[in-house]
Amino acid sequence: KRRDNNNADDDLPSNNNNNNSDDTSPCPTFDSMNLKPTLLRGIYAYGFEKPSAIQQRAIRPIVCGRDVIAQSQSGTGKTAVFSISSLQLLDERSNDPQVLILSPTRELAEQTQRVVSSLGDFMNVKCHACIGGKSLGEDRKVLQQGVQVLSGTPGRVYDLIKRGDLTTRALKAFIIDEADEMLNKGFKEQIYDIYRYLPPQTQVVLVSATLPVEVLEMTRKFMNDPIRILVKRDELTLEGIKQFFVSVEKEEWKFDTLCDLYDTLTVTQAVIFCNTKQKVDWLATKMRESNFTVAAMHGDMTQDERDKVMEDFRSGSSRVLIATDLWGRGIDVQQVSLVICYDLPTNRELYIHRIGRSGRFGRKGVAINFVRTEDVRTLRDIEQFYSTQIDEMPLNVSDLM
Amino acid sequence: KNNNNNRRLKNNFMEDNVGVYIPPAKRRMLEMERKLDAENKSNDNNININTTSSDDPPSKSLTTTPITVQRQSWENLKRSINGTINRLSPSTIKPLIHTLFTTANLLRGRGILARSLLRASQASPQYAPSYAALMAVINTKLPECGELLLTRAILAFRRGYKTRDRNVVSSTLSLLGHLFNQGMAHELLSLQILTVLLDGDPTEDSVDVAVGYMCVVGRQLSEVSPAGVHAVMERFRGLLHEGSIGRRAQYRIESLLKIKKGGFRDYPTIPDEENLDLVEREDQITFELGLDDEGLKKEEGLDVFHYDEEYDENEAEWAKIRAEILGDEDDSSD
Repeated sequence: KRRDNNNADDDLPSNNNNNNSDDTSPCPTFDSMNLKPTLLRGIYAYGFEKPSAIQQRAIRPIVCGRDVIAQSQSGTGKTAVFSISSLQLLDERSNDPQVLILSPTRELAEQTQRVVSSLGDFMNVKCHACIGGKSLGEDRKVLQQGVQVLSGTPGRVYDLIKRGDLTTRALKAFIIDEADEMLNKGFKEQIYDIYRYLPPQTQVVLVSATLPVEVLEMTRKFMNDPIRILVKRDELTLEGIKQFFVSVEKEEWKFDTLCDLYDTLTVTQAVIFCNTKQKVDWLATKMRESNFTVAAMHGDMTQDERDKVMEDFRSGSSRVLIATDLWGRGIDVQQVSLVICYDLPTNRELYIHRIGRSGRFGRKGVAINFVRTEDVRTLRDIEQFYSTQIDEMPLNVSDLM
Repeated sequence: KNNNNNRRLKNNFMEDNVGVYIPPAKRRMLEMERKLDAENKSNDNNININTTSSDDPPSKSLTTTPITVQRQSWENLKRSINGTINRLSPSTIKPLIHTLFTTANLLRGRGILARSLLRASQASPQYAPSYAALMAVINTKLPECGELLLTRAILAFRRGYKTRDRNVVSSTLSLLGHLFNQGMAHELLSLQILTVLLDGDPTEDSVDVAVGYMCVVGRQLSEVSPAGVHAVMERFRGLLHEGSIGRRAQYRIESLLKIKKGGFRDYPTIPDEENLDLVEREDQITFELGLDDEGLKKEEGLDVFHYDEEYDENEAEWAKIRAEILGDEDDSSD
């Protein structure tokens, strides 16, 4: 059992050619990762300059064919880790599906597809997203024409395998993104079902924010002597993010306060989190009445609606995104510098997923939490749990942004 | 004792400076309380008329002295300008410009306006086209606003370049680029900027930023100064052939050569023309400010509140200007 697919078209001097796959010492630059020149071009064209901590450590072992567990929180550039690795592993001359990436949500699956396609811009790569809510016939047509990288949600992917539309015999790598979230959503059986169809030598890469028992069990069943790469939580998510609270006291005072912030601070694009979809819709209406361009997103929306919302926000045509926690994980919108928790999250894990966003790739960010009198305790609990500091917002907060 | 007093004063001062933000509802409540308090006090004063001493301020008129009125209107001006800029996007620019002219004395607030726009473009350069479009409209009526923004943008670029702050440089350049595209800045400024970035032995960042700037201004610059563009492209080509720059910079230059060859087809001078191309070119006022001009002044004094002796006259003057502007607007929309 050996995968000898690394660095085939390498044109670098051999002293750079470190094939010791156990070596997880960081690669400080993309240049030093021995990637295909066309891929490297795509990476730079995408706007990346230096690899993040997890990218420095995880890409090389994956490319060398090892099973890898990459554990780190949102905001650390995990999507690019397996997207770059997938493209490096790819044999562009073959039209068979070679890499299969599973994600817990449709947005993530599509986002991954977009990242792979962009990074592979200068390569001859066909990447497709297979997700629920889209036409099955379309998926089958695309698969017949040839696809090399598939990014999908478990239900749809399993469906396509069962029907024989997705052939697995040429699969080299199986990548499970947000594995802990996947298990939370009850995808366990479907993942096992899909795994059974894979060729025995398939390389497995598992990406997860945490390693709960179920994920560990999965690694034992699926993986062959995996390398575990851990990037610590604290240094990732809240680092560089200034967190504040505003004591709004009463629910009725929140909206007024929000408008006031927009009149006094410099806010370019912001994500505002609410706890319910009713609140999201209500707030979106109120803000539109006040001349804001607003995008709103929650779980009850159809796939097409969600696509449009994300596109509007990403392109900048809406400056505000109001969302429930559905959005809170792994979706990559780099330009956001301000996150407002209109409602404090109902549990402390959600907090880091909401706020972590603004610290992506070391960008500084500001988080503002609206706190009613009865929320003060929850806030202190969050503060303690992350051993972080959430100060009362100062008047001169604009100078800090 | 005196010392003690001083310390207390200092402490108060510090607290004021780093005071916490108070939500508006609470602010109103506190103000109400203060008013009530003041009223009570002035009632007391009326009764014991003899006890009035010099350190007891004339609290009766606390909320209506000219200085408080002016300060309040300054705060409103700030909010109006800030709120507009935070809401600005191609789809909202037209109604927002109208409201801005109606609610804000932009002559008085030009410091706030320039500061706010510069800040906003540094925080998110992707909105630079909208910010420049807003200023393009204002500039035709109030050129002192456009000149101030352009001046400060040039100074910000100079400072960012000197301190090697790449984010400041590249975000300031996207604003400057779009000010040029809107016809407010002269082409010489763009050529000077590119020369500074590419001369000698440029760093990877420098090349990167220069490529980005060319993508913004390339189309327009090719029209007004083909010779200048030719020289700049030759310099890029030279860098490529010298081969001393990193791979990332190489790729960026290669892609720029391709973009130039395609006539900057995917890089329109004014993106989203329907919403952002609001001024006829011949109506625009172009400032011939250069990168090395020594007389550039930031005029930071304009950003903070000053008591205006001739407040009423100046406001009346502005009311006239505003009526003209809004009248013009109505004419052109007919």
